[in-house]
Amino acid sequence: MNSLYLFLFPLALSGMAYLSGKKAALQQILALAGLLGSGALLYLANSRGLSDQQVNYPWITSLGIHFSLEINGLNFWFLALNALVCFIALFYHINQASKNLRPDVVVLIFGVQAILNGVFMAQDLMLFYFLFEASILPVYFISSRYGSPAAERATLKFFLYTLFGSLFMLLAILYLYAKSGANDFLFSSLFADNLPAETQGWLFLAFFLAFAIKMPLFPFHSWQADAYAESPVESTILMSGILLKMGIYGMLAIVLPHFPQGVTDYGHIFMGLSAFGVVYGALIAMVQYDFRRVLAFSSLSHVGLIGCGILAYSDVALEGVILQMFAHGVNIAGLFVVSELIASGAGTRDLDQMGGLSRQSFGLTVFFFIFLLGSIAVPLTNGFPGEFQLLMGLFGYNIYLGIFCGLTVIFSSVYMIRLFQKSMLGLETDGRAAFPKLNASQTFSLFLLAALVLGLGLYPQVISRISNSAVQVLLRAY
Amino acid sequence: MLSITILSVSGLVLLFVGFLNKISLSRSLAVAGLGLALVALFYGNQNVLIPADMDTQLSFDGFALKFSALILVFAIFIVFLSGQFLRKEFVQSAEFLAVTTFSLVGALMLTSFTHMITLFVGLETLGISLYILAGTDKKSNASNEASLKYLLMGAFATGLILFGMAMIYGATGLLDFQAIAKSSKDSLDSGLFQIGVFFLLIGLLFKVSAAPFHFWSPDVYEGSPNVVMAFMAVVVKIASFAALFRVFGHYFSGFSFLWWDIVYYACLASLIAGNFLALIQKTVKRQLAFSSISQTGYLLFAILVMKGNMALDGLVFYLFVYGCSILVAFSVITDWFGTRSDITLDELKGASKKDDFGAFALTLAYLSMAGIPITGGFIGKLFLFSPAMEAGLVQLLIAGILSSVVGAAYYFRPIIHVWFSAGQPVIEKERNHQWIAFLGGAMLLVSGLFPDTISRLIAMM
Repeated sequence: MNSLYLFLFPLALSGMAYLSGKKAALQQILALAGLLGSGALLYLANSRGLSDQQVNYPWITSLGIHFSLEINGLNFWFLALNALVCFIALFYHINQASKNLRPDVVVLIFGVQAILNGVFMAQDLMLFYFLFEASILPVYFISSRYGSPAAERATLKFFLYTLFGSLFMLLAILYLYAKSGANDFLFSSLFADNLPAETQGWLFLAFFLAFAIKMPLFPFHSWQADAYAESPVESTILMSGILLKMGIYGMLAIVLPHFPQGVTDYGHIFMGLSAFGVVYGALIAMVQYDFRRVLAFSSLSHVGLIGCGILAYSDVALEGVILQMFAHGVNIAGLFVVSELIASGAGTRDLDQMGGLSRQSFGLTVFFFIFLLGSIAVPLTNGFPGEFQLLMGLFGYNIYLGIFCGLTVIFSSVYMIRLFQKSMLGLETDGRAAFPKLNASQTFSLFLLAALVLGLGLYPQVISRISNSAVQVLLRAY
Repeated sequence: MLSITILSVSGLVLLFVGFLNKISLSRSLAVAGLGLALVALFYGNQNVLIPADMDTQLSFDGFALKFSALILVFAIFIVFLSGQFLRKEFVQSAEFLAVTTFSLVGALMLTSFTHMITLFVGLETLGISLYILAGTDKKSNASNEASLKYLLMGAFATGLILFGMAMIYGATGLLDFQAIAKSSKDSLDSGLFQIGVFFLLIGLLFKVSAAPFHFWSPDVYEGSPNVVMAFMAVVVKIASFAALFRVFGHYFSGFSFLWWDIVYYACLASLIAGNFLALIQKTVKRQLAFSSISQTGYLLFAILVMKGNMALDGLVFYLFVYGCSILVAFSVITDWFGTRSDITLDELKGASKKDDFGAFALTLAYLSMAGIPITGGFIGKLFLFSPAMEAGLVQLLIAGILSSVVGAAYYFRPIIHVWFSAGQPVIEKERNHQWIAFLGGAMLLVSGLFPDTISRLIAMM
């Protein structure tokens, strides 16, 4: 039953947030409750045995669609990350805008959390699709309503782009349903292995397109930088921290086990492309002057590496995928919060107009540096074990690909340190508004993230212990 | 049967009540007549006041009941929506309502005919009433133009249909659809019969405004008064689809080789023409008119697959959801702009600041038309796409989803204007139809989140 609670709990909080209106203190309690409640549900689910947590109700009977949810080793860390990232976004919003709190943002972020929990737990392909597509709506509304004037255009592009990809997935799902002869859409009944290789290839491409646009992998990334840069930071945190993880999850849970033929036939092409994206994203990040665009392209680079790891289909790489997925969520959420605090203090996001900020806020500098270390995968931070395993998996797949992707280790430190240097170090520039000190709530949320960066760097087994067996199951078809 | 009688009588009564010139009385009478007709649908299979041999020409089977119920339900709401329009000094409320009621007699016949004569009478009863309704805004040139255009184009289509019927009759010597479907192979193979089917199909595609026979609909929709456009987009669309489905999906399904390709290409053309042309429209009503053409494209999927109940119930579900979206959109638009007929999309800018509930309902309506999950539009598309996939129409489905993306691009424009664009809209304070928007919006969510509730209701009929 915990899976159902995990879906309904954020929905209930969303309703309560609507009723609480502009009372910041209440909203803050709700945000904390969301984190602690989801954490408790996950912890209990784990200690009682994940297999006992499933629910399965008929939903659309004429097509045999079920409301079927399950917590398993694969989605466990996605769910945990979802609770964390949504909390960060909420907490940021409530603190930052305490005088001018927007209840609709809080309501929608809780809505995102519920929908995404559903996406990760869904065991019915049509339910998965339904929630997958519904999840864009709340973020779209937050971005367009409260983003910069250019956000309207950027987020519509994001919306249409992802809609385009996911509609192909819808067709593929319907095709599988029509061909399988099963009367339901459950993951377990819609397997493609008895279909001809060519058909499997098409189905693979359809699903891959949907997920690759969502992640995004090179060359499907053109919506990303604009959407990240023009949205309010709350939805940037959501998009980069957790929304793109739907793509990773879909690749792991659907593409890998269901279309082995497609992965072996076409995987290497997309692997080459996303490996190119790894380096391309890193190189572009080096020359960007907008703080957020640097982070957007760094995200393209990191996620490209994750994409390569998935398509390499080895257990080392897949464990790296889970580790890196979680680490990326933590780091990028932290970095975007930091970037926004810096930008609001400095009054600009242009790196050229920043400088010497470390003298103004020591705490922020330390947090920034910790997330930076995590992001460039220094040993003893959370980025290291994942990236190490990913690269090891890639070396096992193809040594040249491994070397090529390995460049990211160098490049990421170049652009991240450039970011740090330009903003925090150097000479102070004039005519800047006073830089506010971190308040208690901001310190708390950043401390939480920083603790995860260091904690998971020291003890990554926490993650792999739960996900390990699930990863093995994914590779059964190979 | 009984419903048709009730409608005819209440139409006549309404004409006499017109002497009193009391709008509220006429409206209550009209609603009462429609409500009674709706109830009578489920009790009224006995013949009242109708010669016995007429019974074979109209059959209120499950198919007819589903569509008739849908038609009457939406018609009731549209009568509620008409209040503001009827209060205009030069509109004769009783006449308007009486003609609306008479048109429903035609609509109900279109759902239940078994005979070519009843099909024709139904088409004409509905059609002629609509020519009048389109021109009820007497002092508006656009409305007059719409009426004339509709008359000319409609008469042309009717001519085609009649021509086709004559040929089918010439080939088979029969007027009863059931009998035609079972007639001898010789007569079915004759060129006369094939041309007859062709003309009948073209005429009916004209009536449902499928591309490339859609040219009348944007002008007529735009020129007609708002409430008449809502009536056309919902009630008339349902009735015409019922007729098309009844002839081709049911009686003529045995010789699909004669018409299948034409419907296929009409479907494709409607999807493309409707969606792409809607992109460049500047007024709310014109955009909805082109959107209605694209919706026709999706609805034609159901006729292409002809898989009995699944496709039929899917079609009814889709029509229900589409009707709700149009109803919600028009109730909000009427609340905001009154009876003005030439509302541009730009005028919607910033409307959420004045009426966030209306903006929310309008958003649901457009999301549903775009087929985005959590609204019924998505489930409706699913119900139409799934049988189409099982019938192997992959290319058509790919065209369908690609044009859905184009569709989303223009359906989002009003949403963007209402919520995100800066602007001080000149919208009225009246909120007379909020309850319709609320009910319709709730239906869109219910059909999107718990579609079983609606589809069980449809399957029960």
